[in-house]
Amino acid sequence: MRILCILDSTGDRILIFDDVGATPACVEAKAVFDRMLARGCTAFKVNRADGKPDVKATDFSTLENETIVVPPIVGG
Amino acid sequence: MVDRFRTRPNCAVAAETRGRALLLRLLDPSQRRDFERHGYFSVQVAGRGTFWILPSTFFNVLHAETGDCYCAVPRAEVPLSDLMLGQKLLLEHEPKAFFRIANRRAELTPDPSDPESAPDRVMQKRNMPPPDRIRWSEVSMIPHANLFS
Repeated sequence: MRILCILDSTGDRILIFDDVGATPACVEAKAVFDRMLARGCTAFKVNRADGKPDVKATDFSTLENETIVVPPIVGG
Repeated sequence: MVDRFRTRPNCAVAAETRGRALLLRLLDPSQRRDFERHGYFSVQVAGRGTFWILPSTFFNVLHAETGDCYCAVPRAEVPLSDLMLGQKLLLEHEPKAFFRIANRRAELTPDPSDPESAPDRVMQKRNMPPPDRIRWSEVSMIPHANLFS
């Protein structure tokens, strides 16, 4: 089971999908992931196996247990 | 979107509660301890040193060594905890992207003998009311460009 967590005004929006494949949940998650990155969001793989450090994610097929999608930032 | 969000305080509280739970889950133990105790935490940025992420929506990233504060926040409205989480992830793993966008201002003079006090000093300074009286030396004597137009 994999989690895509998109930070938004509600706190976060969670998409859960079983694995990278052709299930409807996975197809939806991939569409959302690709759309968010196209809008300038940045994704990070977190809570990785074996305590590996968090890392930026750019390819849906490489996602692991949990991914956080951060909205584009602007200078304040 | 902002107005709709602000007129629904229960939604904002629920969002912040949710954001805080996510942030606490993703902080490392020392960051979690600092956040629960003080409301802020530090991150180590490769090649730049220690930065404090303060619980504020503007200029809330404080460089421990210089006392400069940086401001780069999500364009979308997110709860404060999500804002802090986004900054943590960017600073730790995409610092170039953060600093390319962030605005910077000098916030305080660093105290090398007590660097741990910097976050509290910034927060105290911001909570201070504006001074009632202004010294003449604080008033610019340069006329405003449009003064005589």
